[in-house]
Amino acid sequence: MIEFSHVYKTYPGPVHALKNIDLRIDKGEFVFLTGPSGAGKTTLFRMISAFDHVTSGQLVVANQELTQISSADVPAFRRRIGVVFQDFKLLKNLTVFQNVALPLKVLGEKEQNIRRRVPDFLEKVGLSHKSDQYPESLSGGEQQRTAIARALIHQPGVLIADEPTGNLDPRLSEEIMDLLEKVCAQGTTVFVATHDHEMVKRRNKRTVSIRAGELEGGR
Amino acid sequence: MRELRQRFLLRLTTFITLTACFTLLTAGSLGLLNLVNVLSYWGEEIQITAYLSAEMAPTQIDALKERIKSDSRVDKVELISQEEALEDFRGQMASYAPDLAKDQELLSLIPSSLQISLAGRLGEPATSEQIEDVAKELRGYEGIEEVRYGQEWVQKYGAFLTLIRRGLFVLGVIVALAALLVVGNAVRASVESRRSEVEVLELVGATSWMIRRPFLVEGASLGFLSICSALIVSSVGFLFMKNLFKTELQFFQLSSHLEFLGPLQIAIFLVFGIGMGALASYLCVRRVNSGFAASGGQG
Ligand SMILES: Nc1ncnc2c1ncn2[C@@H]1O[C@H](COP(=O)(O)OP(=O)(O)OP(=O)(O)O)[C@@H](O)[C@H]1O
Ligand SMILES: [Mg+2]
Repeated sequence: MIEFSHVYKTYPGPVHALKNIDLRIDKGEFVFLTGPSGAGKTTLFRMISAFDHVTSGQLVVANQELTQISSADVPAFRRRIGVVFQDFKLLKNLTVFQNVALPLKVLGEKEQNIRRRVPDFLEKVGLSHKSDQYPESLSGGEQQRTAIARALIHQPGVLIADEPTGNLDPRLSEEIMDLLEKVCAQGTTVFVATHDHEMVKRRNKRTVSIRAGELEGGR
Repeated sequence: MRELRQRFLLRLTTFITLTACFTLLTAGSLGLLNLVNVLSYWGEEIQITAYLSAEMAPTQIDALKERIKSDSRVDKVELISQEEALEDFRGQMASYAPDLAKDQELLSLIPSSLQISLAGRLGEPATSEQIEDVAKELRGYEGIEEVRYGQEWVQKYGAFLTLIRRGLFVLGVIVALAALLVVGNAVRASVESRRSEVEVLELVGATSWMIRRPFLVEGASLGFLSICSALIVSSVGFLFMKNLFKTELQFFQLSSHLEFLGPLQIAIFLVFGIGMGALASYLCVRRVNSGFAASGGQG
């Protein structure tokens, strides 16, 4: 579950990146976030992933109050969510396999479990054959799929994905979306930012749009 | 590859610098340890001689002897009577100047004396001051004409030892600071080159301990390797010196009195090296992650 109430985010400048955000996404819901470039989509996701503090208002994600979360509580919170970053944030000195295994390592998962689960997931995103490659030798789409696998491997309660299909061809985009829907069907809350209006229409899911830091169209 | 090479070079130079710093300290301690050994070996010979006035009656001498003996700093008091002193003198002089040895008038000038051995040994910290204190008191006693104990020798070596001890302490402090700086520098570079890695680890929920651990291990192992090689360097130097005293400097008969640092001292040095390395890293990485990744994101 994700719940924003009266959330503002102001960057020094001042840049009012988020203005009076009220938004509630229930557990197991699948929601698209659309909006023009610079509207505040990434900012919204940064708040949800405790990447940054909100300036004012209230934010609760996966039962964790984030407005006043202490630094000591952040790691435990992050292990319960999955994030696909717009710029992937893969470690270039680790292989695809090791990158995807990272959340499991952090959770202290047994090595044999890691060796079983990671290949499963790499297969789901169609990267089995790249398992031992380093991110630098991957195409943009392959890096993106590695990032998606990493965000899902530990079965998070909340998944946020910042343009997870931005670098994928239409067929791959559909496959990834199918995967996200499947994950959602298993109980994960999924929140996806995208510019792909065609896909949003086809998927027929709840959609919120943001413009200049403000949510549009009610809900 | 270039990055790896640079990292390796930085670690190597850090290791070498740190080894040099630590070697100063281990070699210094080793030197001090053996200096104390040698001095206390020589110091066994050090005694205070109190020459008695000729008018002292045997009972007075006995009383004086008892009085000196009652001092806790004094180990032994031995009376060398005039006859014994004469005997000694004759024995020593007979071969050089037979005529002199027979000159009764001169011999009668030799006073009787008390040989006083102190409880401590020279080379132990307090001893040289103790000798002086005891000597000063003896001078004040009635019936004692003159007190001899190799003043200059004792004073100089006492002062010398104190100087070395202080110097070693200052050296220790400087080495500790240098170690902090040198290791800190290496770890900071390492943190810098892995900043994005730290950020990603934070984002997948690694605790600060997980993130800092590799840096702490890096610093501690640098300290450990450096102190080990410093100990090895000083032991090689030590064996060389010992061998020198066995062969070319045999005259001094010191080789059997030279010893290497004991297990406890070695352990202390190991802990010191590891501790300095880990502390330096800790100071560097204390703020490496703040729970929220500090860097800005993207558009
Ligand atoms: N760290 C920051 N400091 C100052 N201003 C910022 C910062 N991060 C974002 N902004 C501003 O906040 C606004 C919203 O940015 P945001 O990254 O959320 O847009 P977005 O909707 O994700 O755009 P895109 O579709 O291009 O990714 C922009 O005007 C941006 O310049
Ligand atoms: Mg964005």
